Parts: sequence; structure tokens; C-alpha cells
Amino acid sequence: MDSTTTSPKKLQKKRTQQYSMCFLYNTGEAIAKLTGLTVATCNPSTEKGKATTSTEETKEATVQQRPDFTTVSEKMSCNYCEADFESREEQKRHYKSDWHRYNLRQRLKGLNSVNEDKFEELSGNISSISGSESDSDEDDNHATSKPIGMAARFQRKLEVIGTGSSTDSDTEDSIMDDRARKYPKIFLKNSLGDLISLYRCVVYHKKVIPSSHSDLMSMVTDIPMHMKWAVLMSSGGHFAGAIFDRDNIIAHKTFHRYVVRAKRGTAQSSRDSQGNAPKSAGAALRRYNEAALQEDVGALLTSWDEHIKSCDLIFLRAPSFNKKIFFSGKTPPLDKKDKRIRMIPFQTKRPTHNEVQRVHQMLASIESYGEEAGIQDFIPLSPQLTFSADVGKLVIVPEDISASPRHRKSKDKLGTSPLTKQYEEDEEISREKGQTKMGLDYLLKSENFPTSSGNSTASDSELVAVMQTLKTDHLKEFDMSKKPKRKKNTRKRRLSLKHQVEPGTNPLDEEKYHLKNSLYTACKVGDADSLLNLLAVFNVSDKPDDEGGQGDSKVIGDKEIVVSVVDGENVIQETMEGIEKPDHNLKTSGSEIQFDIDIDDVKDQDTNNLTLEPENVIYNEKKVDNSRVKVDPQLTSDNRDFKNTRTEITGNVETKSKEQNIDNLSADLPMKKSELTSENAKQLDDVENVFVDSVNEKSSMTLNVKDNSRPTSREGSRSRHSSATDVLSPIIVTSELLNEPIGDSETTLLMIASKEGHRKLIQMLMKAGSNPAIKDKYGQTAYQLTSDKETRNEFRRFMAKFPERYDYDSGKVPGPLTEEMEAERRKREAERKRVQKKAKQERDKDIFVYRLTAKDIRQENF
Amino acid sequence: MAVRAQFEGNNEIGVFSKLTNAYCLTAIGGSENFYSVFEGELSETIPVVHVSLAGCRIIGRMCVGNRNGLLVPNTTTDQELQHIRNSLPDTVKIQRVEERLSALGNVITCNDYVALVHPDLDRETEEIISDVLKVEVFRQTVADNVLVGSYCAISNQGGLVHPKTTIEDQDELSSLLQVPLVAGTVNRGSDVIAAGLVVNDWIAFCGLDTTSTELSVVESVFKLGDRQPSSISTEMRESLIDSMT
Repeated sequence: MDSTTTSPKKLQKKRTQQYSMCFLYNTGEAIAKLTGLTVATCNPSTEKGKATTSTEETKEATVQQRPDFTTVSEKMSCNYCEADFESREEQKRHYKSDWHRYNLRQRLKGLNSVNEDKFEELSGNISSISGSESDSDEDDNHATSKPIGMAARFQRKLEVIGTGSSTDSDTEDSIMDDRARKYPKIFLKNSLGDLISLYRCVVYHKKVIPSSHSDLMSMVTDIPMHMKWAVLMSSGGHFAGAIFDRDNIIAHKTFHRYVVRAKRGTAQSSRDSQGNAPKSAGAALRRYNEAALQEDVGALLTSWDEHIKSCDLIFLRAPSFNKKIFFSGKTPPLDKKDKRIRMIPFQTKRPTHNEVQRVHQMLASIESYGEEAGIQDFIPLSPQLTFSADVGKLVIVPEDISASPRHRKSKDKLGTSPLTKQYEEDEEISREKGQTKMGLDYLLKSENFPTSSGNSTASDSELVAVMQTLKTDHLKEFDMSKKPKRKKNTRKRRLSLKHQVEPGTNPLDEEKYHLKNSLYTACKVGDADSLLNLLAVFNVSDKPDDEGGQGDSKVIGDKEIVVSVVDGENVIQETMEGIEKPDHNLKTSGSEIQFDIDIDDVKDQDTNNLTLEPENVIYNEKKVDNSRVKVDPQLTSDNRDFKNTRTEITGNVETKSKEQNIDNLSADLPMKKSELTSENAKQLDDVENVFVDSVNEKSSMTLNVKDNSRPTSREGSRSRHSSATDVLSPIIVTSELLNEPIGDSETTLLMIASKEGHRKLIQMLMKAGSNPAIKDKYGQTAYQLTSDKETRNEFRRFMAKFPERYDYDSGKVPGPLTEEMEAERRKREAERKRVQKKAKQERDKDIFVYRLTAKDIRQENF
Repeated sequence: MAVRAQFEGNNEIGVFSKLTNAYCLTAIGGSENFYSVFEGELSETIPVVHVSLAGCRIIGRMCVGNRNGLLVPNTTTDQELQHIRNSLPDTVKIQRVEERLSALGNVITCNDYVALVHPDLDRETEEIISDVLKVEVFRQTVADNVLVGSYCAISNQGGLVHPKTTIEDQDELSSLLQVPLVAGTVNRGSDVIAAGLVVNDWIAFCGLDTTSTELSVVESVFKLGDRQPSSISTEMRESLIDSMT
């Protein structure tokens, strides 16, 4: 059985030294090539003799060795991979390796085995290139597994034609047909003695085989005269078609429709044909698209009818279901029996216009391999060709190792390195241009693959060692780095440091520092008693100081203005904040601001109020031009306790000019001041002096309050500051301390207490003057920092008690929580619980009843 | 000992039976002749079971097994599988295999320790083979034939391979399988060894056409019965000859 067929593994394929291509549509050239044709003799040697001898040998061997052949062979080797093994383990490992498998496959395909290194290379390529590699691989197999069949058969056929003898060649033919398909190319020898090849399908239809040698040759020579071809390709929902007249494209068109489900891989129709057609939307879509594609192509081909009719050949690629696009339907665009229709005999990629062009050029190429005489015992192999869209022509892929994508990539990578570029430049300078470009990449390449092709090899270029002295003088330290940022950082750090430490040499400062510390600890730990004590200390120390200061009204006024009394300051702060947020402030300025003041001194209170008013004036003038400020401080002098001082600020919101600078403002101030004085004159006769003072001081004061006693560059404030430290009173300390940001994240005592969830402290602190509207560095207010609901409710309760005291809106406190509301909620809660309880009881009862009945039933059954 | 048998006039008994060291499967036939040949030789030692796989009688080509287990194609019906389970010893694992190459007997050959398989066999199947049959699996061909199950028969004692196996290949296979191999034929020159021969460690059944020469080769390579070369002529020979000269 084996002896009649040639073993495919003995095939030989070779690249030829010379290779050139010309195209059939270049008539003159083509005709020159196609003169004096004879069939080339490049057919592989048959291995008949060898095969038979080998079988005989084995038979002999079996016969001879039979008697004492009962030993296990010691020789551990793999004949396919030509590998020897030291140990059984190694042997086992080898048989599991991919290399062995690969060689096994190669052998079965009739190819030569590869050695391990080559396999590594191959497998590396495969893994890196994935799809594209397999194509060429298949092409290779295609090319190599077929030749014997073709050549032998062709030879035989010609023999038959020539001699008309040989009876058993038919049977051999059929055997050959089973063994291998026809080789797609015909090899011919022309008058110049060159071996040329053409695609068989270009020459004749597979069903109309030329009857004689001369017939074939005349057919071949005729081809250049009939060069109006159509190439139609359709697969996987893509269609591309073009009609060529010689190398000109007369018409072309591509379509794409969604026909193939990516995961499944086959067209919808072939899935449907298996029965149980899916009803999904996607399936319906694909079905529709398939029909639409067929329609599109049909319509296109009818519109091309004239061209197609005049075409000499129609090349078609339409695998499986795509055939019906061309051959089925009421009026099929193409006739199945049309002898012009030829299938494309090589692998094609996705139908695109480029691919169509490539196919056309491939088919139209006459490949010549050089002297026919030298190519008789092997099948010449054409080099890899790719179609370059830029040139619009087939380009031979260079054998060079750099052609493989992996290397190209590494080349690119190296090329981008500035170092390499530099190197290349140097190299180019040092030697003539046009000679070898000796970049690092090239060096690398030539090292790894010493036989890289091209006329420039590693041997004809030399390395030059260049000594270079590099100067570093011009490099300055931090020349490029951003200094400002660094500066900013240091400043920040300094600031934060200042917040934390800085007890100073001043005994007062030191005292303040310690106070702050103890306050902080109390808030952090939640020590309500110690906090109460601390706050009480302030309150106690308030009185004598205030009374003491009463004597000199001017000084006191000074003082009060700066910080104002506990609550008053908050108001000022509030308005200051309002400056930053104009909208909000316009609202508040229109509304009534009510605040409690638990300060004994009427006079002080008055001054406080008065200081406040200029503030507002300033503010309003800054933001809203032409605004009128009316201040009606109502003094309910009720036993030194000043309550519900009303400050009504009505701001005219209609503004004419938006901007007014501070200079104007200060110019206006005296006028305002006089206005105010006149307005308040009746009520506040005694405090006039103070008031004037306050007006004088107002600018510095604003800054002071705003910056929270941070030193500013302004002259006034500086002077003010120095005066304040001179006459620092505990009150200042209290209010300042309570709202002073602590640490880097600028938290206040209130925030600390709320974060820790000390509810008692919150009430206490807020009563003492901690403003919930202050935000920390991250823009969080004390309310937002709370951890549980009860703590939050504490804020709301405070809000219910003192709705006007702070700016709760900017403190993000949602709303007041009054006693009634809480009572109501409790009631609701109780109600709900009762209902739940009832429902549960009901359920229990049911289960009980059910159990009882079940029990009864059981008893009955017994 | 090697016995000749025929299945309803057909000499390819390896197609209709499966013999291992732990059990023997025979096809359900029109007559009991075939079955009784096996039954007569084996009934005292191992169970001989009538079996069909996927309704087919060509069980020898459909399944593969050894002392440790039995693999059947996934076309085997549940009923058949249950029947096999009931009939075989509990130590024999039986598993259905989802494999494209469903004629497992043709693509796999094994003894109790090693198996040769078709180069294109699924990796998953390979794993199942090594798990269920407890063998080492090698992908290899026999005389360039991928149907390793058809062209060779191996036991723990030895193996008979396709007559055209080259000596190098025999050496390689022998070292791989760790059993002595002989290239030979059965059924008067048939190269489809496994179809004409079923063998285990102590008995072989050949087709009725098998010549006595072939039979003697079988007996010697599989070390069956009393035709086994005596220890004097094999192991001691060298020393004997040494001393004689």
C-alpha cells in the first residue's frame, strides 16, 4: 500500500536564488516571458524505491530478531525530534513537550522536523504574532504538501497525452487525488530557459483541462490579451469586489454587515440550519443583515452587469454560506456553470479593497525563479509577499530577520531612545553617509544573527571607540526644579507650627498656650467638669476686668472693638464671612439679627453694638454700592443685662455701580459715621467718643477679626495688635481660644468635641461662644464631623434654643429640633412599636393555632 | 497461551472484544460461540461481560481500558454504562470521555502502566486517561500511523507493532513503553494488529486466520504460556556461552 504512494515527508521545497515578478497586464513584458513555453521538469523525486526497501528491511529484521527479541530497548531517543535522553524522566518530559508534539505534527504533514532552538523561535513567534503567523504557516503547508501531487500528476498526464500508453496511470491518478490536492501553480519553462510559474486557475477552469501540451501553452500565451478580470470576495459579512481592466480599477465596492456572532463564529443562517433557530434580537438582526447583504451584493452585481459580462475571468472567494450570495436567489448574480468563474487558490484575509487588489496582483503575477536547468529536483518557493497600500503593489517581504514584527518592534523601541539616536548620529558623522547605519539596534541584531541579509553585514563595518569629555558646568543645581512650590511648603509648615506651639516669652502668651492645651484635652477627652471650670474661670475673670476697664472708656472701647464681647464677635465674624459670600450676606443683611449678650456693662454693650455697625457699613459698601444701613439698637436696660439687641440692617440691593474700592469707602466713612451718630445720638449720648474711636479703628479691626488675630501687613492692624497684647483681657482669650483653629487641619474645639461625640461639651462650648459655622481645612463644619445622630441632634437642639445666635446655615445644621418635635417623634416611635408588637402577637397566635390543629389531626389519625 | 477465535465468521476479533488483566468485554452477538471461547478460557479468573457501546458491537475499537479503569465514548448510553458498572469489579473505574476522536480503541493503546495516544487527542482526554487508567501518556505514532490503537497491541509483558515499524522506531517505542516490542502481523499478514489480536498478561486471542508462525511470535513476545523461551535460553545464555568458549 505504501509502496505505491510517495511519502509526503520526503518533499523538498526551496527558495531560489533569483526571484522576480512581472504582471500579466504589462503586456509586452508578459508576452516576452511567455514565449516558447514548455512544461518545467521540476517535480520531486519519487521515493518508491526507498519506501519498499525500508519495508523489506523491517520485515527481515522482524524475522531475524524474533527469537531473542524479548528485551526492552535501552536506547532512549526520539527519532522525530532527533533528541537523545539521559534518563527516563528526561524522556518522559520530552514526550510531553510542545516541541515533540510540533514535530509529530510536522512529520504527519510530511514536513521536516525542527530542532529545539528553531522550535523555541517558532513558538515565540506564534505566541507574539498570534493570528497572522498561522496564515503564513498554512500557506507554507499548502505549498509544500501539494507539489508532488501536482507535478507528478501533471507529468503523467503529459505522458499520457504524449504517448497514449500506460494503462494503470488512471488508477494511480485517483490515488494521487486522494493523497494531495492539486498544486495551485503551473511551472513552465520559457524560451529564455527561465522557470516561471502562473496560477493554474488563471490559465484554465478546473473542469476544462487542456487536452494537450500545445493547447495549454497557447492558453497561457493568450492570457495577457484577456485581462479584464473581476475579483469578488465575500466572507463573514464582509464583501469586497472590484473589476480590473488590466491594472486599472473600473469599479469597486465594499460592504460590511453584521452577520456573524463573534463568540459563536458562524453565520446566522448556518446556525439556523442546525434547527432550533434562536429567537434572540441579535439573531434576528443577523438574519436580517444576511438577507440585506445578499440584496446589496445582488444589486451591486446587477449594476455591474455590463462589466461582468465583458469580464474575461471572475475570481471568487465565497466560503460556505457566502456562496449563496452569488449563486442563489431568483436571479442569481452569477451562473454556477460559468466557466469564467474561478476560485481564488490561496488564502485571503478579510475582504477589503486592499485585499482585492492584492489578490488581483497575486493572480496576475508571473513569477520567475531563474534558470530552469538548476531547478529540477525541488519545487521553487516564492518569497512572502505583502500588499502595501501606499504603493498599491505587492512587496516582497525581506527575508531579513528585522522583518519579523518582534524585531521591528525592538528596533523601534531602541530607535526612540535618545541615547541610540545620539549614537547613531555620532556614527554617521564619524563615517560616510550611505554606508552602514550602525545604530545600537543594528549592532544588537548583527550580534544575535550574524548572517543578517543585505549587503551590509557586521563584518564590513567597524566599531570606533570615541572618548568624550562631558562638561557639567552648565548644570546648575535645581535649575529646572520649581522653587516657588518649595517655598510654599515651607511657609505652610511654619504657619502650622505657629498654630501649635509658640508659647513665646510673654507670660500672657504662655498662659494662653496652657489654657488652650487644657481646653483641648477637655474637649478631646470629654471632661465636662474641667471644661466647665475653665469656662467659668473666663467668666469670672471677665467681670473685674470689664469693670476695671470701665473707667477709661476710650481704652475699653478700643479693646472691645477689636474682639468685641463673646457673642458680639461671632456676629462680626458672621458678617465677615458674609463678605466672602455675597448672596448669603445680602439675605442676612435684610433679615433681623438677634443675639444674646450676657455682658454686664451697658456701656460695653453699646460700644459693641456701635462697633458692629460700622462693620456692616464697611461690608455693605464693599459689596453693595449705595446701600443704606440703618441700625436701631434697642437697649433694654434691664438690670445690666442686655438682651435682644436688635440690629436691623436693611440693605438696598438695587445697585448702580458694582465695584467700589476701599479708598472711596474710607472717604465715605466719615459721612456714614456722622449719619450713624445722628441716628443714634438720642440713645447713645455717652458713648459718642467711644464710637468715634471705634470708627477710627474699624479697618484694622475688620482685618483682625477676619484673620483671627493673625498678623497682617497693614499698619493699622499691626498697631492694633500691639495695643491688644498690651491690654489683653481673658475675654479676648476666651473667644479667640474657643474658635481658634488648632493643628494643621484647623479644627476648632467644637469640632473636636463633636467628632468625639461629647454631647454635653457641645452645648457648653456653643453657649460659651464656639461658632459651629467655622470650617476646618477640608471645609467640614463641626456638625458634619459628628459621628452619631444624637450628637447631631445636640446641634439642632441648640439651634432650636437659640435660633439667631449663629449662622447655622453655613454650619450645615439642617434645622432646629424642638422639644415638641422630639416628643412627637417619641410618640410615633412608640406607636410603631406597639403596632409591631401587636402584629407579632397575632402571628404567634396563628402558629399556635396551627400547631394545635396539627396536633388534633395527628391525634385523630391515631 | 494464544487461542484462535472468530466472531460470526469475522477474524477481526479485536474489534468485537476487549481484554484486560481485570475484565473481558465481548460484543453481543447472534451466537454465543464467540463469547464462550472467552468464557471458557477466562471465567475462572476475570469476569467476561456481554457489552454494547452506543448500540454498537465494535466495542474493541470504541473503548480503551486496563486493570485500573475503562474509558468509553460519550455516545455510550446510561443503561449500557450502568450494565458495565454492575458487571465489572469495583476497583475498575469507568468513565465516559468527551473526545472528538470517539473511537478510543483506535487512538489509544495502553497496558497497565503506559499509554500511547494519537497526536491530536484532546489534552483533557489525555488527563482523563492518566487519571482513570493510571498510566503515563505519550503522544506518538506507530510506523507513521496516527492510529496507535489499531496498529499495535501491548501488554505488560511485551508488544506487537505494525510490521513496517522501523527498528529505530521500535527501539524508541520499546524504551518509551518499557516492554519488548516486535514488529509483526496477525491474521495471515494483516497489519492491523489490534483488530486481529486481544491480549493480556497471560492469554492472547487471535483471529482464526492467524498462522502458527504469527501465533508463535505472539506467544513469545507476550511471554504467554509454556512456549515462553526458557530462562536458560534467554537470561542464562550469555553466561553459559561465555563459559563454554
